Amino acid sequence: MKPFRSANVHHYDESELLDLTRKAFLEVFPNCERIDCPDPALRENLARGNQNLTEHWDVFDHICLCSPCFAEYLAARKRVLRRGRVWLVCGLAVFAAICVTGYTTWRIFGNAAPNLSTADLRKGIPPLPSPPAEAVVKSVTLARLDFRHWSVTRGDLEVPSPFTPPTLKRANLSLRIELPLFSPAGQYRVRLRAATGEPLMDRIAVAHIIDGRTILDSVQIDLSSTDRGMYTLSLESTGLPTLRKFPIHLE
Amino acid sequence: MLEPRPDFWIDGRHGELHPIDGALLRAAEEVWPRVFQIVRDTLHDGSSAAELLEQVVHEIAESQEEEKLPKDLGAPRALLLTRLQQRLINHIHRERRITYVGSIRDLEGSSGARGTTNRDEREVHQTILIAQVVALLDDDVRRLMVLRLMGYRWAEIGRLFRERTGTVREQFRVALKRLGKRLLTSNRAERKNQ
Repeated sequence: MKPFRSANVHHYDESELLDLTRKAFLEVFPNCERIDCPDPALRENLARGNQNLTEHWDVFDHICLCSPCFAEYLAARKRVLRRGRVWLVCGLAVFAAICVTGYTTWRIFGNAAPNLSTADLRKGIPPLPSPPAEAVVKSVTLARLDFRHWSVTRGDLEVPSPFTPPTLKRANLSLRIELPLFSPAGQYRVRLRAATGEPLMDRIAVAHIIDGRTILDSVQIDLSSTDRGMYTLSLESTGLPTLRKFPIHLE
Repeated sequence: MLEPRPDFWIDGRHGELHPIDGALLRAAEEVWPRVFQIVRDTLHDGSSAAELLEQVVHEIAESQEEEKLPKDLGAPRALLLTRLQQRLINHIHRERRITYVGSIRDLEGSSGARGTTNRDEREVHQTILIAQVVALLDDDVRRLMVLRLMGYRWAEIGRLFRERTGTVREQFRVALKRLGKRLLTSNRAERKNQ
């Protein structure tokens, strides 16, 4: 059975009761002449928590009995609480700033090992097992030898060319050779020899005429372990009356 | 200049003498300057302050004798001051010093009803009643209630009373409940009078 509740009687909730009680303390005990009021400094210290309230219950009892003192103590407490909140917010802000700075520093400097040379770093890396020799595929560098404007020599005489010999890098090369203008298409024997006469390459390649240019199919040669110096590239074809030789500088 | 202190033990309510508790008497003597100040500021004349205080003291003593109030009062000074204010309002009514301020409808609705008061006066009575209920609480409960009103955290209050936080919270809850119940009873009585 529900208890009887009069519709006209007001029921109070907790916050309302607290407000009414606070109002009562602020109004019911007037003391305009401040009779028996404690030292304001002591009251302020108590409100701030600088002095132990349990040693001054008499002061506190007076505050409960004096509306002006109650109002002043309440104001002091509000100031203290506000200051506490400000400190809390500041503390959180500082903490957040430290976190952000720390994280940023770690991201910038933390990943790279400081003061370590490449050699030091390499020392730290365990050596990988070496793959079998046949599994090693060297990267191929594309090289182009352009002899388009090299004049065709007639006869067997070795005439020095007016052109600067082309330079090749010592690497695993895929050579694209462009023959002098008007060279015929067809099979060519491509040989590369050192100045000493030592053969480095002897291949058969097919030349095609594309847009008026005679271009040999790519010839692959590994020169990575070859010494620097001057070499001679010779091209021989059934379509050509003589052997064509071109100087090449290997650096 | 203060009025001479009243002789509380000479006169009694309705001419009867009631034994006055020593603590109440001391409290009355302590509170006398405040009483004189309040009466003088309210009535612009402090001459009736002693009489009013005397009446209040005997009223409380009578209530104690009839066991309506406990023998050991928690905050006798607060009780004296709040009872004095009630008596002061009644005194002003008797002296017809209150000018009613309110709507005509309020006035019509309240005309003829002896206990009827306007909204502002009801609020004053309610405020005094709250202060009285708090004055009748135990010392510690009253203090913890005031501390809570002043924004102290439960942990701080618990430390001050060397009690667990849950205990002080419960004490506070019970005190508030008592206060709410007393206000409710008062409101019901007022409605009944109307």
